[in-house]
Amino acid sequence: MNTSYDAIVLGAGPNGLAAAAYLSAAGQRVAVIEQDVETGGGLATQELSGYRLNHHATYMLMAELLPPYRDFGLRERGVDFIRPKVQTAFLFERQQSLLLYSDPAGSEASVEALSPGDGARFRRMYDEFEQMCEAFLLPASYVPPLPPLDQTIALDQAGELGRRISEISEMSPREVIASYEFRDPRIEAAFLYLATMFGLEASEGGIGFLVPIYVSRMMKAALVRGGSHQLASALRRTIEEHAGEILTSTALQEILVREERAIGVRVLSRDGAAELHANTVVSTLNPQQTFLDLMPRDRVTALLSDTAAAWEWEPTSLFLFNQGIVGDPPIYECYPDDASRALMAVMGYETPNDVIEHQEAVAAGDRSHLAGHGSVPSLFDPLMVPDHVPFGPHHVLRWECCAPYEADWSIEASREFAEQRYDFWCRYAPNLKQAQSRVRITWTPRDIETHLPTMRRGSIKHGAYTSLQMGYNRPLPECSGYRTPIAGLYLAGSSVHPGGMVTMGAGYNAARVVARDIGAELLPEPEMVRQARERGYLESEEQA
Amino acid sequence: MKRDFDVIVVGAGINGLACGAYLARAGLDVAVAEARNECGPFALTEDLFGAGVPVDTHAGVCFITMSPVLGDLELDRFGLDLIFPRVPTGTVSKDGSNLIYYPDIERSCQEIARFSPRDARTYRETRQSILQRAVEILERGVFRAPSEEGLEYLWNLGSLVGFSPDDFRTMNGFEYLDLLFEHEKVKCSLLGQAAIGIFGDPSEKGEGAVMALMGQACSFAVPRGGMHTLVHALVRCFRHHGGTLLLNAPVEHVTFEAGRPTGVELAERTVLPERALRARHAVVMHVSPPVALQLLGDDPLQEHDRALWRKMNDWDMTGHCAFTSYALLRGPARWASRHWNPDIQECAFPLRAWDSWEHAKRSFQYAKNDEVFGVAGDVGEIYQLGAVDPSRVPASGETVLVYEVEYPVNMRRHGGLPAWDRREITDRLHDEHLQDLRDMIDDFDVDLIDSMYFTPIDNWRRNPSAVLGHELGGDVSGAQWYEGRMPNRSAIPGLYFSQGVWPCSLTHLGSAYTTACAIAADLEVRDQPWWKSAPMQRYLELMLEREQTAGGSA
Repeated sequence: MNTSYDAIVLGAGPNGLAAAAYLSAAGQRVAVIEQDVETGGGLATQELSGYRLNHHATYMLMAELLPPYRDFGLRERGVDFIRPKVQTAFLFERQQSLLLYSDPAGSEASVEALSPGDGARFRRMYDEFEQMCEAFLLPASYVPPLPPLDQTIALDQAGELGRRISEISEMSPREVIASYEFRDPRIEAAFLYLATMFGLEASEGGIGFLVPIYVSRMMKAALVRGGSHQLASALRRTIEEHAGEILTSTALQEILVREERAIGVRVLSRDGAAELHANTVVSTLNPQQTFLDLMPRDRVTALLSDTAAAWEWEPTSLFLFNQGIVGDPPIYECYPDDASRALMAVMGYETPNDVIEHQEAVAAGDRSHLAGHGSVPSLFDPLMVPDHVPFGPHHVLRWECCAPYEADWSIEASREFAEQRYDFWCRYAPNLKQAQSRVRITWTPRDIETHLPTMRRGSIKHGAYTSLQMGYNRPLPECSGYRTPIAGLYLAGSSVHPGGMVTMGAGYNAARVVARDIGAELLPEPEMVRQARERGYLESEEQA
Repeated sequence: MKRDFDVIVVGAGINGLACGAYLARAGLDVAVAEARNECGPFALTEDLFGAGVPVDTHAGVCFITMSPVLGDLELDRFGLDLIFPRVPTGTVSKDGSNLIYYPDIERSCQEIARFSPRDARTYRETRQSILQRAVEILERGVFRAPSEEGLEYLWNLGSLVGFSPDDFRTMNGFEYLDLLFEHEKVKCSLLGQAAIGIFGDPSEKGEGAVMALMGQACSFAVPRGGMHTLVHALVRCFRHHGGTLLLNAPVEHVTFEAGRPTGVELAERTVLPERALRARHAVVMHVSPPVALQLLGDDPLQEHDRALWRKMNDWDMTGHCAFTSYALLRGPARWASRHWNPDIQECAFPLRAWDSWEHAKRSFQYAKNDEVFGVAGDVGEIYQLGAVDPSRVPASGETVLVYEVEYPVNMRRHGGLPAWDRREITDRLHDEHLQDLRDMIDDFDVDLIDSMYFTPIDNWRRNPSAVLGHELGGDVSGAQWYEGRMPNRSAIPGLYFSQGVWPCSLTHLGSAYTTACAIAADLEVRDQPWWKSAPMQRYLELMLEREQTAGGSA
């Protein structure tokens, strides 16, 4: 076992793998430390009896926009994104529905059919969100965040679109959606859910800039052919081909600091405890793990330890199950055929208040609400199921809904919770009652925490999205540029800008900051970043 | 993406991977193409209950201790860490007794003597003479392609325990044990041990006796952290030597030019951007014969190796298939027979044997007649690996017992194969399994948190090669025993087989070894300093190590 590296990356989730891939490609001798036996973190895909179960991340918002996809030729390495034509079906009462397509014309027609006049409002929102995403919001994920005032000035100077971005940034998701003045509350409910389904609070002010990203990208969501883990495998291969080492089943004990400089880590593997040394340590863990659990108190300033201790987790978490069945996929028989072809079907929300009430009830520990969304990855990817066996058809079902961390999640309670959601799903797709379940794995908020320990309290974002914990403030101004007050120690996880979901932004940005600090050669920036700089939405590269 | 290789192996089962690793280490440019996302589909370790208890869902003990592969491929260097249990195996009975076998022969004899002092003496003599020749038996009988000379050698093995070759070759496993031993507990227990080695069918003439004898030359260890660490080690080794592993790469068919295989074409659903892969020298089919036939197509085989084509067409995938139940317990199982011998608590791999010798004979008859419920509760392999590997027990203390029973796959009396997807049948079998455990374990229901099972068809779902759920590439008896198995090399130059061959594809990686030897010889890369001329040397060292450790702690 080597004990000396140029850089050590803590955690082999999407950000850790991305950071390690860039650093090893820049010629650094890199080691990635992972406690689990597998790499990938939230990208894990488990295969049970031939059914593939994406335990956590499934819908890839960035897909081909992920910088490593282009920079490391991941398509050649077997990363193939599948983008379903019908993206989301919102199933309402009285057999009414709203269908969102990857082609906006289809979505517009569906909105208009549900509520005459709202089609044009949708188009206005859609176009504006697209422009915001393209001009600023997406490229901003792949550069370090600016202080809020500097960013506001830059946006103001960039023109009208920039000012509109500033304006919605102050709002809550609910206010942003409301500003488009849809007549039909179901349409408002649909977009509010789309914007907040993965860990955002609908009424939280100051995070409105996230709404265009989620709404726009959730209408272009992609699956990874073969399962999400394929993305992690391709990055792992990239790292190893650049002589990087992935040390799995290796637990971190301490980040070693000498004279206010990180010099490596102490780990525990099956070979026993060992010290690994490096001038650069990149942590993708959450602030509590990095600054409280892995560093002796006297090495951490009061500011860091206080911030970490006061780090706010999301008030709600996620419950999901993946299930392999013998039987037909859900047929939403009272709805248009396209509903049964959608990547996701959302059930149980009629008004924006339904969405908010559900979130608030869950935040208060109540888990009686029946609402959420289901999907059938095997509709789009035959690799997800054991199609070689003649007793089919085989499908993989996935259910997701928000859920409280503080609750009885015993095996019996989780099973009952899952069963109730399955029955609820059957109300919309009665044919699911005939399906025969072969395997089902449920992930409660507790299971999320157990399997993905950076997601404390089942936090799927590594910490709440509040204006005090976003952008330049994530996790605190002293660290949000990926450097920390401890020389040689960098942050690169979802608790740094741009946050969670599989954007790999934090890992990408951290690797660039490290490369700059050590004088390593950088790959060119993504085209969208270059354009955003040219148009004045982001600082020019010289300024940065 | 690279598309030209010297050798392409179809199927990343553990033996396909090991075969690829041998050839890669010998300097060839090798790709292994796997249809699914995971290698070693029958050597998986999974957190089945989501309770943080890693469970070996299929293969539970690793026979690699009796294999040349461990040393040749330096698997310990690539992360395989073997535990040699102090109490490896034994049998438990419902009457509250058990019969434990220790690495130390004398200690085992003491246990046997509690049933029959005469059997203890016989066991000592037979086991000693078999163990003295174990290296030779394994080298010639297991890790070498079948031949007439080899068959003669197997028939002559009977002389080790006092039988003439003529008697031995017409003897089944029951007769063999009847002639040597008197107490039915001892006979049941030794038959159970032999049955797990899967070198043949105990109730068949000749092969039954051979497998009962060879069972005594077997040894196993437990991989720390789970059986999947074996797969990880093989993958690391393969890739370390320059091998290319292609996952999610289902092969649609093998391509032929001028009567020779030239590569493979991947199915459209692959994740890879390039579907045509070329193999300059060899294609190795590490899939079961029916799947191999499908991928090769009838034409090239019919034309160039008609006998093999017929054999593959007639290949029997029925026979025994595993139905496995898993029980999540609050803590270690409390065996009722701990009052008989408390070491059962530490036993890695106890077997639930038949209740009587008559019962044992009858159960093979049931199996042949497809009487699934007659077989239920007869003999079961039990794995309590948390007892020997602390890394499989979470801080909260839960353990998982794995209980695997072999059933006749056809199940004709219950509607044939599709019946394995019928809950009323499979739930009933699972209940019988739980009842067996309840009969042998105190407070089983108090400790039981959850349970689940996989049927043969679930196993087929997991592994496209396991047609009808057969986990060994087809029946291993009668016409498919020893010389009746698939050849390592076909009459078609460059076409090789590593599944359905002798020995079967178990965790001793014997079929990888025999296939790699054949290919390396043909491609003239067999002469490697690390490819040991005395391949069993490592086995001997390990056996010695084990005896010493066991002696020290006894």
